Amino acid sequence: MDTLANVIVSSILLGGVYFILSLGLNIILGVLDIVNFAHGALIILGAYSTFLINRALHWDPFILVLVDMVVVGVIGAVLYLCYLRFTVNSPLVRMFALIGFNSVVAALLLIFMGSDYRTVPIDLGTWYLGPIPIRVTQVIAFAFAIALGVITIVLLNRTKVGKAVKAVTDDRTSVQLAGINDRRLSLLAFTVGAGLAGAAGGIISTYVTFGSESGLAFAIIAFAIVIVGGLGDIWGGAVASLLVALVLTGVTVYLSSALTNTALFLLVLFVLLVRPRGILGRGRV
Amino acid sequence: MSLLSSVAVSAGYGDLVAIDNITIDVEENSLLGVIGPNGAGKSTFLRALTGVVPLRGGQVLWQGTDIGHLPADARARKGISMVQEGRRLFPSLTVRDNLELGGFHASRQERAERMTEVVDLFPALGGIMDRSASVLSGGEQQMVALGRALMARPQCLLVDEPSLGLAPLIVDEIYEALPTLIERGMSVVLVEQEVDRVLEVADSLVVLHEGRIVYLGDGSEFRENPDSLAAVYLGHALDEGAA
Ligand SMILES: Nc1ncnc2c1ncn2[C@@H]1O[C@H](COP(=O)(O)OP(=O)(O)OP(=O)(O)O)[C@@H](O)[C@H]1O
Ligand SMILES: [Mg+2]
Repeated sequence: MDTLANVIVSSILLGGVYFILSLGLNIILGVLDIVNFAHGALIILGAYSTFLINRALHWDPFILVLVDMVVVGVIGAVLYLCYLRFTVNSPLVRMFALIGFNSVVAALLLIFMGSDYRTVPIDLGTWYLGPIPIRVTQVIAFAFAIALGVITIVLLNRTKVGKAVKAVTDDRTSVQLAGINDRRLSLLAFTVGAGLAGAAGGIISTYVTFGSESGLAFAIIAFAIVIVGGLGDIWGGAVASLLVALVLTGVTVYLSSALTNTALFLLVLFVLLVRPRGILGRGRV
Repeated sequence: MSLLSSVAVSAGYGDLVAIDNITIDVEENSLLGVIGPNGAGKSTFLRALTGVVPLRGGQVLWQGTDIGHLPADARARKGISMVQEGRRLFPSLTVRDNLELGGFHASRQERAERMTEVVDLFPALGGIMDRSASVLSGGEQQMVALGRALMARPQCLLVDEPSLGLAPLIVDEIYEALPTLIERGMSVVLVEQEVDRVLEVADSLVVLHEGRIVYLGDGSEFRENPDSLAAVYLGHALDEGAA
């Protein structure tokens, strides 16, 4: 019984982190129709940004989440301006470019950071929810992830520019015809999406150890969440984050951690079969 | 000088040339009707004017200046608004947000004023402001689409088949708004299948057939002799067809 309660509590906490892990991917997909194969690289850059600045300056890892967001957001903007916007007419070239970016980042990290796995040293003790132990850092990570997610959603739904970004998802031509520069909105969406990936990397660096190749593992989880939640459906992504966290935690605890990716793929296949437009049925096909 | 002109404009999709060598002037404060059978190139003509499809040749002049190289959003900011075929609202937003995005570049106060004007023009919108644009009737959609275009306070409004799929009473309501717009100093380019409706309101008329102009005039010939229009629709020049 305790184990089950434990699994549920851990899954909820992890689900919050997964939500932020997938949010940037979802926004970029929704607004730009770009499957961001560089998502993993952006996440891992956020994680290393926290690690390096924390090692050098001893800044609090949670403050660094905001720094990661800016650093990786800028990297995303440069990536978009120098390269992605010239590939709009060729999804294949774009995919190649993004996967290439992943490889370059992984190679550079390996060269400059070595193959060691890294941990950001942070321990704020443990709380007990009845008999269930909860690491305080995980609670803060959860709170940070949810706060960032909520702020993003509020900005998207309540501000003029946010609404214009949503409108691009609906109908880019109509946005242009309203005299709105959609190219700037695209840049904004990619920058914010990349920044969120960086923030996710920073948050996750307080959770798990990571290495130069870890981006792929995080990206796989993010892609699974976006598919399960429905392409471009942010609320669906929130529900899917929780579901994926439950499945991954459950499989690790009750079966074997070797089976987590298998479970993830089975979950994605299952959802694609029964709910091809995502768990809330509102995603794009 | 005309407000908006196309000079020898050609445009198309892939290998298809959808409109070829179209030269038309839109005069200030007037309504130009554009008619023609399905696939004649009416929508493509509007898209070429607004920059939604690139020009293959020719020029688009706005008050005498070539704007044919500008992207669609920059042309819109000059004062050209278009209501596309099929309305094309933002379904994930409310009616109010759809309208407000039409006035994206206006100040908050200016937007509020324009919003009042739009509701005066289409009172039905007043009651559905907070409804999602994804659940509107066809008539409501068309009013939102027109309202959104008017929120930019354009000098030239292009409207593509506003009557399509709507009940006659609703179409009446929409057509009643057009003279008001002209009174306010706007120019309108109206693409339609319902020829009679266009003849009622148009100051000048273009008939397209297979991407070319087969008639350009004030339309009086067709008001006097409706049968002559059938010939033009089949692609005959007016004199040979009417003979
Ligand atoms: N997006 C597109 N891609 C490819 N071909 C297109 C596209 N839109 C239109 N066409 C083709 O271009 C030609 C002109 O089409 P257009 O839509 O401009 O005609 P239209 O006069 O507006 O017709 P309708 O009265 O049916 O709206 C047609 O042959 C059509 O099949
Ligand atoms: Mg058409």
